[in-house]
Amino acid sequence: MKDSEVLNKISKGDESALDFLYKKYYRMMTNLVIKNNGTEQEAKDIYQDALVVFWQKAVSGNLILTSKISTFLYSICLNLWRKELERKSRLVHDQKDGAHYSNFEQEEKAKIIHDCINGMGETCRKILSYHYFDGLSMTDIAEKLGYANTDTAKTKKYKCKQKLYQLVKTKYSKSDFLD
Amino acid sequence: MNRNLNNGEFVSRYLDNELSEIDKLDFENKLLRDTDLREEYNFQKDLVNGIKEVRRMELKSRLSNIPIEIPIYQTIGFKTIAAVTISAGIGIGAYFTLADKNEASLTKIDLKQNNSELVEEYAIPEIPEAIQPIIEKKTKDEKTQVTKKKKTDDATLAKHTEASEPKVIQPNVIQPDVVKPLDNEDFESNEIGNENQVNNLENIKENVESNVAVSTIKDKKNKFHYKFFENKLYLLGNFNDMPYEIIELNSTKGKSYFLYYDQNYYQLNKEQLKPTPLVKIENDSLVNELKIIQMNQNN
Repeated sequence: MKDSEVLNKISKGDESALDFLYKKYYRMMTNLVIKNNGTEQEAKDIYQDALVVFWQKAVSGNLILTSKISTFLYSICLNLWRKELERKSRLVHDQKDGAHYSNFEQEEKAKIIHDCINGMGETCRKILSYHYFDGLSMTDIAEKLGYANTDTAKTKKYKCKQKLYQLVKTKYSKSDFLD
Repeated sequence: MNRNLNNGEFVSRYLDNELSEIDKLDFENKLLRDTDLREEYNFQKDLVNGIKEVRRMELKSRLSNIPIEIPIYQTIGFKTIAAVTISAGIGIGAYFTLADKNEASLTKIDLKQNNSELVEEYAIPEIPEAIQPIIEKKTKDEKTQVTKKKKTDDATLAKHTEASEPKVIQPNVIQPDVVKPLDNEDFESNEIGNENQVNNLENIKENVESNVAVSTIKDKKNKFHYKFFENKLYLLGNFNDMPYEIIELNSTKGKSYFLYYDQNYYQLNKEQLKPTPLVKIENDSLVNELKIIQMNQNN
């Protein structure tokens, strides 16, 4: 499959193109991490994160590549691994300063929200994901989810967000999230 | 516009990028001053980040479920096996290459040069010793004839070298003029044992074990005779008591046959179609030659 075909598929939200890229460049990308003091698992995580970043950029259909996809992916992996190394270094430093409590609180907040999102129906999860993560327009979302028009998609998205909002607000007291 | 919106709606439109540039600036300014608005903003920002994170995890989960088939040539085990195999291949290849070169060097010997050293190295040392006395008896004229036949000698040596059979090398000196099959008259005459017979043998290019068909016939009339008929040798008499052996020699003039029986040698003339008495060869040199040839054949 050529790069242009891959990009075209991703712009249509076809996740099989992501599968194709993952298999094609797995060894090349993971070796980058492994040869730079990373473990196999870290390499796998970084490569998957890089592909997700690539997906997020390409799915809107506005990504214009001036290089091969492999080159672009390689640079993303490289940057992510550098950040990860910095994070690990910082983590050691923060632990010495007792800053781990703040991270723990943040992680707890994130977990509560994740549970609420996963507790929603699939349609709401998709419409919110397509809007906030993939950056799809309401027209694209309407087409993708088979709604009659853009307004229907807008209304659906609004209701889903309100539902999530209420779920999180109801389940946890305000003091759990805000100072 | 923002005056008509509550904090929740205002934050939501900001996060959805639905505000104009002026309203955006208004929102950001208010965010710095209004604590309630900031709380609402942080809350909704966490929700959006949560939605993004869930989607990210969903995609990663999808990728994690894809089986990765690492090509066999990328595995450490395969690399090790490949390295060993290649090393072994190189070793075997080198062995056969060198071996081939050695063989080639044997076949590329320049036969026109003096290859006596090579002959000594690759041929048989014992034969020349046996023939030595005969060669020393040669006259200067005979040596001249030998020179004329040098090419023939070289060809013979080449065959000897290739076949690497010691026995084929023996005759260094050849006298082609006297090559003719020995017949009974030679042995019956007084000239039996002269050098002609020896030279006859020296002209032999190659000898092989006899493959002539032999049949023994108990014949009361002809008790120790032989005859050839339709390329088959018939030994007439009682040949069942002791083993006999037929020695076949290939020469440029054709094949010569000798019978070895009861520790004696007998000349066989393939032209003899009638029963002919077997006559023992008395010439010691010829007998020695035949012994050597016979010994080499048996080896």
